[in-house]
Amino acid sequence: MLNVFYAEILKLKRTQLLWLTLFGGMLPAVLSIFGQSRSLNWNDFLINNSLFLNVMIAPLLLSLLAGFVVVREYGDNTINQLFVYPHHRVKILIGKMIIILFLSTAIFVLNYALTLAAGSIMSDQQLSEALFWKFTRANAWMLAFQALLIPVTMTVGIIGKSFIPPIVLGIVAVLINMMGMQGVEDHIAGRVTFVSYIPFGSMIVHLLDMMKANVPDDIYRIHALYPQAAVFLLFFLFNVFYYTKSEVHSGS
Amino acid sequence: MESILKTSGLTKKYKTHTAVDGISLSLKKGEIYGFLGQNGAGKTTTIRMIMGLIKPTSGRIELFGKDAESSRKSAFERIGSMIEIPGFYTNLTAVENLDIHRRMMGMGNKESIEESLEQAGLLDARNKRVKNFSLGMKQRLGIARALLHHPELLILDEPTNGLDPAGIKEVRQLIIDLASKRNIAVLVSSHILSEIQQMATKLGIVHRGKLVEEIEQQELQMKNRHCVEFKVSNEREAVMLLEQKMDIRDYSVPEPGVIRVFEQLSESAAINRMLVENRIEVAEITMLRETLEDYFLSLTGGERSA
Repeated sequence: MLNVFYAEILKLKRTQLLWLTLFGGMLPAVLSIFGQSRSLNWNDFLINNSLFLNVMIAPLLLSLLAGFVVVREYGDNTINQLFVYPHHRVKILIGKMIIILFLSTAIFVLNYALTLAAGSIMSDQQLSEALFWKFTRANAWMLAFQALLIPVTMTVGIIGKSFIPPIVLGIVAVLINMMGMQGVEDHIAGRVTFVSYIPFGSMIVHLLDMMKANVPDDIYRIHALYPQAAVFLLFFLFNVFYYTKSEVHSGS
Repeated sequence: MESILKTSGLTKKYKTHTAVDGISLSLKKGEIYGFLGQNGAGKTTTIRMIMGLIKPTSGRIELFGKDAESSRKSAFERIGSMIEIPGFYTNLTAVENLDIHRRMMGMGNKESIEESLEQAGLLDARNKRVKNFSLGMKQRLGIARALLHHPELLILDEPTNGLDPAGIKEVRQLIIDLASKRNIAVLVSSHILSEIQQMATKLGIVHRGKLVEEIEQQELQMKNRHCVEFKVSNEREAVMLLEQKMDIRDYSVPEPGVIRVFEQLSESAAINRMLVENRIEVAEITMLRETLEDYFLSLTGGERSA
């Protein structure tokens, strides 16, 4: 397994993916800095950063990353060789999932580290321990939720064999997230309930609840872990089946 | 000797057509099996089935004496393959691409990378990114990759695509050397007859999904020879006369009343005179220039793409 994983890392050498990872980690922090007035408020700063990252940038970027890792094997016609290695195709699939998780984690860790560093430089106040742990926990949850969505983005790449379906999925995810955020901010009970059942959106409702505590208790919603875990299981099993059973024809 | 590769009744059917129809072939150590057919004849589909990229509709594949379905992992460690135009990670150099292959094959030794690049004639381009490679260089790198882990069975699908004449000759010689010196079994497909007949020890002609003919090397050479055909009144007596009077030993009697003489072709007039003088009627003398290509075309219905 280590060889499969290391081979996946080697494939990323000199790709724009590494720049995208860096960009994805930096951009929310930079946007949040611009949103601050002269005196930086840690709470607002961290909320803005988390929202920029989780509502807009992560869904698009992670779809693109997952798409690249999966789709390039078809685009570069390396799939013929990949599937004749003496490894079970499920092992190859898991290797790809791990590398996507690795990149996702890099984006989240880089972003959080940059945000804290920028805040420390710009703010006169010190970040309280309570606030630090609150946002560390929120970011850890968001990373876990994003990780659970990796098989979904891989599925659209594997089936579509093109970068377009993962990008479209990313755009749809952003729209769902914005719908969820709007529902919470405007207290639209029906929409919050609906979005809490949908992967992507459910994690934003969860994030807002953790960070701002502005999701009223009387609005019925399910914990984000349920839809996210359900799609993880469903799409992972589908990918295993598809990867194992699919035939590789000329030009596929 | 145990077959390295054996297929029995290998068939692949799609909704509207049958791409491969009951192909049975076998390959032993040190043999070069030339898989010849026009474009779309079913060569690549057969190879893809052997390599597990396409599931056969019916039939059986044995690799190293074991059923391929159940022993694919261990068998793939002993097979080197290049299917159609080989794909590479274009952002990486030749060495880096081979390093990925080395790791995926679970090999510890890095020296084999240089060795295989040298065999494929790519040592000078080892640190060049694949995106800057020509088609011919990619073919060579594909061959280097197939050889990297010292396979016992080499499966090459159209390996000389995109190569210049010198490159074709080099690859041909490499394949012959691998089979004769390292005793590697090689299955090589092509749609170019002249290319394959120079290296194959056995030739399988595939047409519209069917293996229409299998020819051994000796037979191959026979098919490619010129001869003079005599239509005579008594072939038994005629062949005796040929042996006794003209010391001709290289002849054949393909059908009653027909003798094909493969030697002393410039002496056809003398042969005719000798036969007539010995009261053998000669009804017709024809110079036959049947080449393997003519034979191939006769098998494939005269469609000229090979």
